[in-house]
Amino acid sequence: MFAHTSDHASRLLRVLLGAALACACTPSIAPPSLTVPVKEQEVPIVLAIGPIDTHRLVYDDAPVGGPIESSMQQTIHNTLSRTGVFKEIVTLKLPSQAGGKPDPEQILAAARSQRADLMLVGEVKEFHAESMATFGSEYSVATRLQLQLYNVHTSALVWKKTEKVNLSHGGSLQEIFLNVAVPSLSAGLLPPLVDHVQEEYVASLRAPGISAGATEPYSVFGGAELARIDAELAPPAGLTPPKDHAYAVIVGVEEYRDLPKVDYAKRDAEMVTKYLVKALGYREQNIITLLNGRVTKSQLEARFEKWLPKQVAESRDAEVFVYYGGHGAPDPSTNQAFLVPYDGDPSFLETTAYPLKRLYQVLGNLPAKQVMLVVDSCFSGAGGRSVIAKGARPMLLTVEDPLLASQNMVVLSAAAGNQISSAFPEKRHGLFTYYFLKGLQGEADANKDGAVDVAELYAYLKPQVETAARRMHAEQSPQLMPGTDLLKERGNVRLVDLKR
Amino acid sequence: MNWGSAFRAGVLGTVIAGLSAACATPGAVAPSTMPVTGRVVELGPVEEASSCGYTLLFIPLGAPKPVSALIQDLVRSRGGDALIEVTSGSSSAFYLLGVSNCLYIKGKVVKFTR
Repeated sequence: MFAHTSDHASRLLRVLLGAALACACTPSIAPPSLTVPVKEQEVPIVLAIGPIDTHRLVYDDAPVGGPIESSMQQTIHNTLSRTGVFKEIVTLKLPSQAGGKPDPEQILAAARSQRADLMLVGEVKEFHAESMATFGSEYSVATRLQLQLYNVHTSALVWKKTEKVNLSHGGSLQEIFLNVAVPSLSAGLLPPLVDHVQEEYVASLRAPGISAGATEPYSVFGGAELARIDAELAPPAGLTPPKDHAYAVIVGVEEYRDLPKVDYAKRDAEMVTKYLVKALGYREQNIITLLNGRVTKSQLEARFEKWLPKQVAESRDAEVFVYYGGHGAPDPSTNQAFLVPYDGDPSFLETTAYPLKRLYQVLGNLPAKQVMLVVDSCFSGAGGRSVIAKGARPMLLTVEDPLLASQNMVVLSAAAGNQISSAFPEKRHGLFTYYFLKGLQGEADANKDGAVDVAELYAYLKPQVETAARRMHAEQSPQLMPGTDLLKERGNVRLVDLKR
Repeated sequence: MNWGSAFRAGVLGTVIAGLSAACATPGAVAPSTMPVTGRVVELGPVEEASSCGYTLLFIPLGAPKPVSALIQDLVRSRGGDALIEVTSGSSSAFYLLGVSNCLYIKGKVVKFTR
C-alpha cells in the first residue's frame, strides 16, 4: 500500500515539477503589431468582420480553449484599422446559437444593420498541432485559414484567399495560435484583400457593367445553404408532355433603381422558370424571363400587349402563364393597383408603372385555352412587397375584376388587398412562391392521382401560407380569382403531371 | 609573503586569467536571407537565435548548429518566410577545463505578401 502511495506521490511530484518548469521556462508570447503595406488610398466602404469558423481548432480531442474567434476578429480588425484604408470597420456581434452556426441570413442582416458594404468571414480549414517537448511547452503547428469577402448588398462573393502556415514555438497552444499563427496568416491574407478592395472592387463600383462578384453558381454568402434549399425545391421529373403552344412571361424585380429591395424576387422568378421547363412542359424558347433592370414599363407593355397576343393568335389551344414577383403599389386617387417596374415611382404610377387592371384585360382578351396569372406581390402600400407614394397611407384595394368570372383565366395572388406579401428568409424565397412551388412539386396532390390541378394547388397553398405567415407574426392569405365557387372546370385544369 | 611566492601567485593568476578569457569574432551583416522583391510584413521586433558547442578536457561535447539551421529556426518560430536586417556572429569562451563556441543570429522575421 505504501509502495502504491509513494508511486502516486512521485508521479504527482513529476507532473507538478514539469508544470512548474514549463511555466518558469516559457515566457508569454507578445502579439506583434502588424503593419500592412498598402497604398494610401481611402475607400468609402464600411467593412464588417463577421464570424470565423474555428470548429477545427481541436487538440487531443478537445477544443483549443479561450475566446479564439473574438481574438482573431480583433487581430484582423486592428490590422486593417491601422491601414486607414476603410471608412469604417465594425465587428459583428452575433447571438450564440445552441449547437450550431448562425444562419447566413442572420449574419447578413447583422451586417446590413451596421450599414456595411462588405463583409469578411473566415474559416480555419485545417489545424494540426504536435507537442515537441516533454512537458508540452513547445508545439509544432500547421494550420490553414480561408478568408472570404462578400458584398453585403448582393450577397455575392467578391474575393477569397487561403493561407497556410507551419511553425514551431514555445508556449501554450492557444497563445501560439493567436499570437504567432494568426499574425502570420493575417500577414499573408490581408494585404491582398486590401489591394483587391482598392483596385478591382472600387473599379467595379465606378463601372457597374463590370461584375463585382464571382460568377460561380452559389458563390454567394450561405451558398451551401442555398444549394441545399434549391435541391429540396427542385422541380419534379418532367412527366408533363412538352407543349408546343404554351407561352409564359416571368417577371422578377428584386433590385429597384430607387425603391427598397424585394427579397428573393429574382430567385423566385428563376425557380418558376425552371418549373415551367422541367415540370410543366413549357419550351424554353416560349418563355420570356425579365429580371431586375430589364423590367421596365415599356418591356412589360411589349411582352404583355404585343408578344403574348402574337404568339397566342397562332393557336387556339394555347396556354399562357404569367408570373410577377416584385413591388405592387396602390394609387390612392384612382383606387387602382399597379405593378411597379425597376424604374417605377410610386408618386407617378400612371406614367411609370403598369396597371394591374390593364394586365387582367390584356390576358382576358387573349384567345387562349387557359391563362394563369400568378402575382407574388401586394397592393396595400403597407410594406413587404408593396410601396406607396411618400405621405400616402396604406389602403384597402379590391383588385378583383368582373371579367374574370367569364374568362378562361385564373389568378393566384399572394395576399388579400389589405395584407402584405412576406418573404420567407428560412427558405430564401417569397413565402407565397415557395408554397406555390412546393404544391407543384407534388405536395398539393391531395387525391393522389399523380397530378396537381388548380383547385388542389389553392387548397394546399392557402393554409400553408397562412400558417407560416402567422409564425412570422404576419397575416397573409393567398387569393384565388375567380373564387372557388365560380371556378368550375377551371379548377380541374392540370398544371403538372407527376406520374404517367 | 616573500618575493618568490608573490611571483608565483602573479604567474598563476595570469595563467588562470589567460585560460578563462573570452573573445568574440566578427560576424556578418545582410539585408535579408532571401531576395526581397515585393512587399513584406514584419512579424515582430528583432529576435535572436543562438547555439553553442563545448569542449571539456579536449573532448568535444557537441557543436553549434550551422547558421542556416539557426535562420530556419528563427523564421519557423514566427511562421515567416525570411529574415531581414540580419546580423550574425560567434563567440568563444575559454575556461580552466574547457572551451565553449557559440553562434548567434539576429533579425526580423518577415512574411512576403503575394
